[in-house]
Amino acid sequence: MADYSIWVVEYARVVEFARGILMYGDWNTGTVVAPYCYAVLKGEGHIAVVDTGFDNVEFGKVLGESYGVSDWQPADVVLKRIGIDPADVDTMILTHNHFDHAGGVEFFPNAQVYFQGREVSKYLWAKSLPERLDWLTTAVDPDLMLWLVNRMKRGKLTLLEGESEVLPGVRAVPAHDTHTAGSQYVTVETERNGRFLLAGDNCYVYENFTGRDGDGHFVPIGLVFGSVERCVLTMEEMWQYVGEDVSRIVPFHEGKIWERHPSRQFDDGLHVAELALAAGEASRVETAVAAG
Amino acid sequence: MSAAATAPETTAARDLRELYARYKRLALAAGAALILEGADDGALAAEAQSLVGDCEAARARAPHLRPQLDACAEAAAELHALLGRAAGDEPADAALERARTSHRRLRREVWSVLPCEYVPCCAEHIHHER
Repeated sequence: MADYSIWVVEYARVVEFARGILMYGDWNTGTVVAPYCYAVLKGEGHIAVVDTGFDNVEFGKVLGESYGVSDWQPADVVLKRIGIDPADVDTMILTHNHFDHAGGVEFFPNAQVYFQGREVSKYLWAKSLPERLDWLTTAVDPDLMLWLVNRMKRGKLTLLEGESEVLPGVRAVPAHDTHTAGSQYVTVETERNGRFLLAGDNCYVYENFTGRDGDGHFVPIGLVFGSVERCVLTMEEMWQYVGEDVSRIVPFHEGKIWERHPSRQFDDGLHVAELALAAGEASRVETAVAAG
Repeated sequence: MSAAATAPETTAARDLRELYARYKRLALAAGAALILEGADDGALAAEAQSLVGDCEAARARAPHLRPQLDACAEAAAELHALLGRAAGDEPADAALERARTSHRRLRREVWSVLPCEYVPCCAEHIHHER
């Protein structure tokens, strides 16, 4: 069985994030601090990222400001905290095409990109619809598509159709018609540390699973471009995969992740959580490789 | 909702917003068609050409939006060039880069006069205050 170290790196945060986005139906219930994160895997001769964050220029900067994003740091800064150079990342799995997940692809020039084909083909479908339905594509930008054409030309893009093993023990699992048309989540099965699930935006917080007041009744996310029914059923798939242990699910906007796993906060307020360590790997949170 | 502070949209601004929305949907579909290789039967290229003409017509009606409408026409023309290559030919690196550059210019120009369209989000009021 495979052996991976898994870190979740925080690259920015939104100090006032509306709870109604995180939890369906929690309208007008105030705001919470929401981190912006992605995951890094190291093992089996590979370094992989699941999502990329965004670049805080042009499009990313405008959207970041619109969302109230603060404390942004680029990939070289946050990855240095775990001793990794973005140029050494050879695998990039994108959970979906939203700016805060796929807007930093150019930080990782040498990575093979894995993306669900449906997240691409749906744009052709959307083009066939009446213009009055363009809400369906308001939350995406064409630049990633044009960048992916370039990756395809270089043989560095793999479009996935259905569930696929991307690396030994690392599987991309489709979550179609949930948060987006071609979303996916990533499962990691490790020999030493068991299973983990990197959720993308198929959940935002642990509370999506644990329910309001901890009643155990799932509450889907509040921003869905696909089907809410598919969101809930996908959450059930995820829940079963991790044996009903919510700590093994990694939502990329969950502020409590730093409490659930060994973590370190850096001088800029951003965190790194260490979910698993492969054999022979030193902890990056007990003694930071590069404080910053 | 925070619509109270929003000024009525002029006809010219509405035209620009609709042309930009058309361009954006076209650019997404063009990228998808290129990635999926052979997924365009010529309809997207024709639409790109049509959009160039519509941007030029709008520019004549709204000269004060010339930078935005010029950028839209240029971006649509670059998409047309990308889509119009011979069947089986890969898009050239330079053509791809021109398409990306013109797209970014268009986005910047449009957002200088219209709110960022990237909604829904949790900070709608910030859009309207920009």
